[in-house]
Amino acid sequence: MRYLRFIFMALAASSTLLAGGATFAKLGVPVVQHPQGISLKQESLRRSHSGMFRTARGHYGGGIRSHK
Amino acid sequence: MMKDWTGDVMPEPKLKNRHAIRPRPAYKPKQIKCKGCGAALSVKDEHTELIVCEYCGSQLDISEAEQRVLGKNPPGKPAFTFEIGESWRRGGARFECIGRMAFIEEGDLADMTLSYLFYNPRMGSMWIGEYRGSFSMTRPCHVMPLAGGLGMKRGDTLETWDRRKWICEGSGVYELYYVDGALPWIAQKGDKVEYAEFAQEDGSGNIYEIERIKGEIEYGQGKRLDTATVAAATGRKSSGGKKPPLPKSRDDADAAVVRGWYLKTMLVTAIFLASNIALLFWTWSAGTEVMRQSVPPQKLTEGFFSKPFYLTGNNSAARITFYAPLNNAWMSLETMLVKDNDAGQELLVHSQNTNIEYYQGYEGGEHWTEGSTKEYLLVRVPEGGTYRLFVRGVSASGNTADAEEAHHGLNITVTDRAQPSMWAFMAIILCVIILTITAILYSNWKEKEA
Repeated sequence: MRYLRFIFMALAASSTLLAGGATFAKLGVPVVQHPQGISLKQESLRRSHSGMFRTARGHYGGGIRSHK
Repeated sequence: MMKDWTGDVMPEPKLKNRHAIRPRPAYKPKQIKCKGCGAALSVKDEHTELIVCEYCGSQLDISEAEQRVLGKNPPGKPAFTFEIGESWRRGGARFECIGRMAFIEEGDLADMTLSYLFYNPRMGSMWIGEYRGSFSMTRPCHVMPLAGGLGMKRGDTLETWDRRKWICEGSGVYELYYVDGALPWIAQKGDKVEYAEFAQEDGSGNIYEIERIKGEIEYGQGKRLDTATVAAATGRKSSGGKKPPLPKSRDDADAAVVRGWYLKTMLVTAIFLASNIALLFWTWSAGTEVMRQSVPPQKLTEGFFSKPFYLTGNNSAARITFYAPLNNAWMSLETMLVKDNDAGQELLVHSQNTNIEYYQGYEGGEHWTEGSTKEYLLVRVPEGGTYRLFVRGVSASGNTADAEEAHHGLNITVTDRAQPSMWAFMAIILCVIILTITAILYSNWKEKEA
């Protein structure tokens, strides 16, 4: 523990400082995909003809499906 | 300036006639003859009850008028550092080594604890202890512990009546393996000594000892000695010189210092852990809720625009929280963040797919859960303004792989100027790991014998 304590305390201190810095810098938070925006027709969204969405979706399964 | 026997400065005595104090008269050595071989032996300490003949090794009991031979030492003398008759100089006084003892524990002859009795006719006697090249100096005292003592474990705390706190170095039972010279009590090979050793909590190097020998408890106080002090007192050096060098010390820190290392590491880590927990709570509570809306399943299947809400922009983060009351079910969501510009246009700025799933049940009598009924989206928004969400989703229960409509409702919350919590969470995990490892190491250190 003579030397290990310095490593442990340095790790705890640096992780805290990095966590604080990364939080305030919003590191890892993506910027919106289209900051300028892409024009949409509201009608097309409502009628589901935009091509952006599929009309039916599948699920990869889990829980009961994986026999838990 | 007066110093006590350990070298610490003592307060000046407040006596009017202190010059009238007379020093203790020196004890004059007494000459006796060994009953085993007839050799002439000198008894230098008036309290001597046992003397070992330096010629034939007979252990002589001289506590009674009639001298008795108690036995002989085993062949093979332990590797004592100091010889009988060797000097120890301290504070201008010369102490002479008049007795030596070697103790073993659990029959281990390779790991002996050595004790030397040094005597000065005016200043009495002191004990020098040696273990693995580390030395200590103790003198008998009458300071008793408030509670506990013998049988304590390493790292345990003891308080004495002089209000000093001590950390246990270790305890156990020594067995006397070898004795020579003269001792103030009758000691024989095989005698058992129950002991507990302590270091002062403040890390000053002061030590406290408790020993029970043949039912009698004795207390001692003293100091750990560094190699330089031993070298200065004996004229020996760690290497070279006329006299044999001192053994190499392992330079072990005492129990109080090591305990301090563990406790300080745990305290510092706990402070950082608390800081990270505070940071995590702050990230959860940061920001302003700007929109909250509940959506029925049918509307979610069709797709819907949420109520408008204002986002600050300037690269601040917006958190979109989805909550669906799922139970052994899943929900797949497609979300678009849409900005209403001044010209009345709807501009898509972000789109993302999200899956929510929550399963639970019992297996082997134990409850298990998987997933969560909540999901989050966090995005940075460069431009401020009025936004809306377009959300569409489907859901299904159990192991249904595909779905075309939603069977569950959805609650949506949007928070402006939110903060990411993942970094604080990661730092918390690291601090918990460090804290756990340190606690395990501390527990192992306490259990391990010194």
